[in-house]
Amino acid sequence: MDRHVTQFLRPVDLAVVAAYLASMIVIGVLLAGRVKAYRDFFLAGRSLTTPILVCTLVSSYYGLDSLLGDSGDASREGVVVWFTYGRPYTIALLLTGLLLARRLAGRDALSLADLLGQHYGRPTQLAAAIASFLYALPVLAIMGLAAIGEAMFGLPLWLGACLGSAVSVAYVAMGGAWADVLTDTAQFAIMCVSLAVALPFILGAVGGFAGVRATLGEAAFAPLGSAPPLYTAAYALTAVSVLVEPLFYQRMLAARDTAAIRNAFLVGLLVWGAYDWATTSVGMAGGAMMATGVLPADTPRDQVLLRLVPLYLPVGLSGLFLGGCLAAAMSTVDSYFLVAAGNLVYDIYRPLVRRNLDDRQLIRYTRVAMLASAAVCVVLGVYFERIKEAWAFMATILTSTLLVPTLASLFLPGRPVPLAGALASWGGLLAVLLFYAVMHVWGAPDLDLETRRMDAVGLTLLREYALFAAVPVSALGYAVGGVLGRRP
Amino acid sequence: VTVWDVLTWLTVAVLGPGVLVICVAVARDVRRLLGGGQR
Repeated sequence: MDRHVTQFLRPVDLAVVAAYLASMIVIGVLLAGRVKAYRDFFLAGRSLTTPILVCTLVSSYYGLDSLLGDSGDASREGVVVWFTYGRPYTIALLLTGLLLARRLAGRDALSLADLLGQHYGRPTQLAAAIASFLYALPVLAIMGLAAIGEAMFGLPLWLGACLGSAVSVAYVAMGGAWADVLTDTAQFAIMCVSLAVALPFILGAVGGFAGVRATLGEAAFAPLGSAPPLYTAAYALTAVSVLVEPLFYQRMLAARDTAAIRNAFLVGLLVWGAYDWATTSVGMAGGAMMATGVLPADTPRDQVLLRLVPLYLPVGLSGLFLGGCLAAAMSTVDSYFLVAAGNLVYDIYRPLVRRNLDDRQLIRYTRVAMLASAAVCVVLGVYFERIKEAWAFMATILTSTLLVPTLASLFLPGRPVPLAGALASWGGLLAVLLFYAVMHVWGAPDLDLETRRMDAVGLTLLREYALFAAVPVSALGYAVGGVLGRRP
Repeated sequence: VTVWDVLTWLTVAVLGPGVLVICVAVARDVRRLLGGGQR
């Protein structure tokens, strides 16, 4: 058990956390009777307004990796985390809200895979569903919940993962997308307000930014950081995945209209930016405390924030903040479980096995698929040590499989060519698998960068470069399929 | 006062009062959409 956290938690803190968990379940129970049609269950009747979309987009997309991961990075690297790592995502989110949203207007699809299936046909839908399902499995967030369970209650990791999954699945399985977005709203409020409350306490404890500068030096305030430009550029390029983020498509397809989506992204950008700055600045304060010995120098970077909170927040607010951590994780877990289950049932099982499922069967099967997804997540989370590697792999698969066919379907004029979609999606998917397999067999461990590397024809290849190879393969597949598959 | 301080004040304003305003708007929309607030 992590005594740094638990020894400062009072009964009132635990009561705050218990009240939060109970209220999530109550929301699911209250909404369970309202869901009749599958579109109500999966897309909340396509009625989401701007404020609802802001809450669900922000809270679902930002999880513990943003809260604990970014603050840990900032404790080591400083403001570069906000400027250079974070702002490329702002550009991608802006493009999504302004351009993609307009192109989705009037589309009668349930998911990104369904959208591609309607455009290119079943083979493309299948590749898209597989990539989307793998990406949507919230393994990282489940492990975050397990870590919180261990730190707060001394639970074994597997039990924390099971309980966190069970609560998240329970309310969404009962109430579907409505339960998802309503709990997201409560979770959005808790995760943002708790951080806003914690920020002045923690920053004040080190004497504000003047204290941080005195301890960490001017380098912590360099917006571009000190990493090699290519490394920084490669990291910034990961923002492209936003353009094919399955969660965003599910939410955009559930929106009332295009204006609601556009406005939600514009308001959401403010909140995302503020949240990023809050995690960056408390992380820098944590870095200063590690440098001065207030926190042990060997504190794991992604636990810096968790260690600070009970030291500097008053009784009750510590519980609120830990509730905010739970909220950040659970809002991600529930939303991605819904997306993953939809991929399994609507995009894979229904087209391949049973085309004539009615709404009641679809809802029942999706509930079962959520449970199955949770079970897969717990197993992956408990047995794989390097979850961040697994996530990078999944994100690479998603972008390589979906980026080219998705953007082509939304922006290129002319009739769709099914073979182009199929070759682009399957080509991208197989190229990533091949690249990883080659690196696994012939590559060597790179202990500094914690990855695998291979030297070939005068080039040093890192496993993270899979995207640079797979996206061109996907584009080539699209071009070849476009020529070969065009009907006379 | 530095640019970092200003950024922090704006952050607290957005994540605190700003977020609560959004949540009030959500409550209004949800009441209307789920039937509780229909006239």
